[in-house]
Order: sequence, then structure tokens, then C-alpha cells
Amino acid sequence: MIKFENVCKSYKSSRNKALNDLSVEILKGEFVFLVGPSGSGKTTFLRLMLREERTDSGRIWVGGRELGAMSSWKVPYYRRNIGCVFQDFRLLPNKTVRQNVAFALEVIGRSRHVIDTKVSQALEIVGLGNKGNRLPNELSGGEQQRVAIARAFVNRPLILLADEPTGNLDPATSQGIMRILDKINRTETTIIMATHDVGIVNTMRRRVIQLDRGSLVRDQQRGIYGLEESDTIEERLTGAVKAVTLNSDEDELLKGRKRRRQTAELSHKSLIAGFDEDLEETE
Amino acid sequence: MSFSANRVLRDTFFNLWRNIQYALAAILTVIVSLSLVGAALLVKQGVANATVEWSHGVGVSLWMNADASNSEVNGISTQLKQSTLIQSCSYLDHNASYDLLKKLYSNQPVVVSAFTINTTPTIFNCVLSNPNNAIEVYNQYSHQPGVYTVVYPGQEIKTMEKITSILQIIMLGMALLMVIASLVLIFVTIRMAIFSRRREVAVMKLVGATNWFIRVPFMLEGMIEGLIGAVIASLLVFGLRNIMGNLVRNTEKLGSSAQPSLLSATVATSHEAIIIGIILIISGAVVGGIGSFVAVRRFLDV
Repeated sequence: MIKFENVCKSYKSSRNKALNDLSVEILKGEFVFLVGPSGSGKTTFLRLMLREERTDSGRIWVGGRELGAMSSWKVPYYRRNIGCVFQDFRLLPNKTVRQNVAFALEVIGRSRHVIDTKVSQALEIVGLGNKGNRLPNELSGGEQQRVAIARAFVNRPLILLADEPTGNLDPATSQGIMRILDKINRTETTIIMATHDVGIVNTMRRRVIQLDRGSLVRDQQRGIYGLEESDTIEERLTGAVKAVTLNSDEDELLKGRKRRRQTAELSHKSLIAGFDEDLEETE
Repeated sequence: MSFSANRVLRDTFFNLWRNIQYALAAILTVIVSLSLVGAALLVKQGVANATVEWSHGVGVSLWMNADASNSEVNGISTQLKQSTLIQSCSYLDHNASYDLLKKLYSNQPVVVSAFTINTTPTIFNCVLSNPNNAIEVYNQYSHQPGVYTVVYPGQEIKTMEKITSILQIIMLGMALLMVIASLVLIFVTIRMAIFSRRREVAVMKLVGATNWFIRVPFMLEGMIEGLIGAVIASLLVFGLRNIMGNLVRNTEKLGSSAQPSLLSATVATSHEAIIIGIILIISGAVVGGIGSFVAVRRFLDV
């Protein structure tokens, strides 16, 4: 699905390489955490995948296409296969929730009819079906991020990129966001999420790709944020955050993962049903 | 398709409205610059018309002394008839030229009262067989006995051509400066429009809107600013032509057709004014299009 091959990337303003000879492969339907300190190259990784940047050397394949060889007029069409979520939501403040989500389909020329149905579905998935007419500034941070997820997912992309989607949110709200991302992942959507959130990474136990100064330092299935059995402050902190905020959600997430394994691909209906279930479980 | 055309138009006019101060400045500059271009074209066309008129057989007038004897007048008349330079002549006797005088100076009775029928010079109005020979006619006849003076319009036309060509260069030079100013202003306006919609543009790029889809509303905005300015400018130019036309017509009514009117030829026809208007409208759209295209290329690239 996604393959980085000896990718190097540096920026004019900095002498250090943002990515240094990075090779990694991500399969369809995987959920990958991209971790590492600030400046380790996580955002560059995502920007390269969006082809907002081009590699200095090395090659990137996404869905069988080599991004370096892609002519620039094809880039917009390529991006329609990729959804994006950011720490700062990036909603349009003068549009309602519905209009924000619909905008993503309008600008790629979908018909009014298709837009209406798809937007409603997307809002149901993120649990905002009843808040379509609100403006973004009337919503909480978590709700705004859910609108952003709906916008990223409304066109059913193959890949969802998330750059610290929980960076501005409190731990409990972050859990809600993670549930939605998990649900989207269950529809065979590949998710790559850059994050600093130790608790989330340690709870979800998904593949972890750790970068440091542009190099791959760890690629671990069912990994945690820091190295296991280490005795760093980070590790202790991890434990503390986990204990305080996430205990109640852990079982439920485990259940969710089992369900995912059973059904390779869920239809849209069962997706919404899955969400309702989740809501009931939490209540 | 109609859905997206709707969107494009809505976006365009919404942008225009949001940017109204800049848009107005741009439109006003386009009006001034294109009006100058239009006026220069009008004058140019007028001079071209006058030149054509002239080469189609322009008159030479021989003014006799008021007290010229009959034999002097007859002598000149015979010479004129025999001359190969002259095609034909008409003679205004004392009565006819006095009538003409009264008409020309109807609003200045003092002038009229200074003349009587017998002190008014008589005039030969002649059509040349070759308009380029006006000077020869002048040299041949102006010193003949009984001739007061020979008036031919060639000199005037040449002087007028010189003046108008200088005028045209000045007008076109100013127009060029103003066109550059319009280009810059449209460029700045579109840049502001792009800046004020940068969030939307960023989202559009992210979700895979094509470059043209993002660009078209901005380019259209620039073109519409150019077009609005151009339409107003061409209306102004059309109005200018009508004012000139009316002025000339009023003067002509006074002067009858004794002397082929140079003025009437200098006014472009309304047909020509329409063509000039179309040229202006096209250039307005082009100026707007170029200004906004450059802005879009510089500030909207992926």
C-alpha cells in the first residue's frame, strides 16, 4: 500500500536532514503510530505522502503509484484518495458543520445528491448527526476535530493521515477521537497517525514507527510509545497517564479490536451500528 | 456542471464584494486608462477620415478683392476653366457671399454691419483635379490682379495631422502608464482575494480540488473587474464621440456647405466608435485576465 524506499529529505533552512534514508512499508488496513520527538520527521513523512513535498532521493509508492514520477496535474486526483486531519482542525469558520464536510465533495465536483447522502453518513459516523447546522466556534474542541475527521473521511479515502489529532484535546476527548479513528480503520482504511500522546499509543497497542532525527529507530507491531522495560521518566509518566485516564476504556478498545479482526470490511450501515454500540457501551 | 458554474459565479461575486475597495480602485483605473486609449483611437480615426476626405477632392477658395473689376473676375474665371489643375469651380457673387457672411457671423452683428453687399469679397470655390496640387494653385493665383488671397486646406490638414499625432503619442503614453497601473492594481486585488481566502484554498488543495478549479474564480474576478471598467470606458468614449459630433453639426449648420468642412471629417462615425468600444472591452478583459493570471500563478501554486 505504502512504501518508502531509502527516502532522504532536507529543507533549505536547515542543515540536518528531515528524513535520512528511511525505508518502511505499510500494508492496506494497518493502523500505524508515528512517534518521535519534535523535529524527528513525522510531519515531513506525512507531507511527503501528500506530495506537498518531494523527496531529495529515494522513492515513495502509494497504492502502486510512484509519487516522484507523478505529474503535478495528477496530484489533486491522487489526494482524493487521502484524508487528512490536523491538530488545529482547519475548519472554515464561516461555514456550518454540514457545509464544512460538504465542501470537500463540492470542490471535487460531486453532485448535490451524492453530497447530501455522503455528508449525512459521515456526520453519523463521527456522532454529529444532530449538529450539522452549528458553526465550528459553537462546538467543543473534540467536536470540531470530529467534524474534521468527517470531512477527511467523507470521500472514503484509502488512507487517512492524522498529524497529532489529539494534540489540542484533553485525554477523555482524545479517547473519543481514537474510537472514531479505530472505527474508520475497521473499514480497511489505512491510518497513519503522528502523535506525542503516550497514553493513546500504549493503550491501542498498534504498530509503532519511531523516528529520531529523520531516521527509523524502531518499527514494532503492537508497540508502545517508549521502549519496553525501560526505566525512563517517559515510561513512568506513561504509566501514570494510563492509570488516571484510560483504564475504563481499555477493555472496550480490546473488544473493538477483536471485532475488527472478525470482519475484514464493514459496510456503511454496520459502521454506524458499530458506533451506536460504542455509544451504548460508554453510557 | 451547472452546479459548479453556479459555484464559480457565486464565489467570484462574493470575492468581488468582500474586496470591494480594492476592486473599485482597480475598476476606476481601468476606466481611466481605457478611456484614454479610446479617446486616442477616436482622434486617430478622425484624422484618418479627414485625410481620406481631403484626398477625395478638397476645395481651394480664391477670394477676390471686394473692389475687383469685372474684367479681373472674368479673367480669373477663364483661367480657372482652362487650367488642368482645376476640375470645376462655383462662383459666389457679392449677394451670395454676403449671405454666407451673415450666416457665419449671425451672432456677431458688429462684424456683419462692417460689410455691405458691395464690400463683401466674391469667392471662387474650386475642386482640384489632384488634391496634391493645392500649393501650385496657390502660387499661380495668389498674386494675380484682383485676387485677395487663395485659401486651401492642405496646410491646415498637415498642421492638424502633426498636432494630433503628437497628441496621440501623449495620450497613448499616458494610457500605457495607466494600463500598467490597472494591471498592478488588479494583481494586488487578486492577491488580497487569495490571501483572504487562504484557509479555504488550503482545504481545497488538501481534499484534491484541481488547480483550475481553485484558480478560475480568482481569474474570473480579475477579468470581471477589467470588463466592468472597459464597458464604462467605452460608454464614455461613445459619449465623447456624440458630443464632438453635435458640436461639429452645429458649426456646420452655420457655415452651410460653402467650404468643405474639415471638422465633420474629424469625427469618427458611430459605427467606428462601436468598433473602438469592442476593442476596449476586449482589452479590459485581457488586462484583467493577465493581472489576475500572474497573481494566481504567483500565489496559488501547488
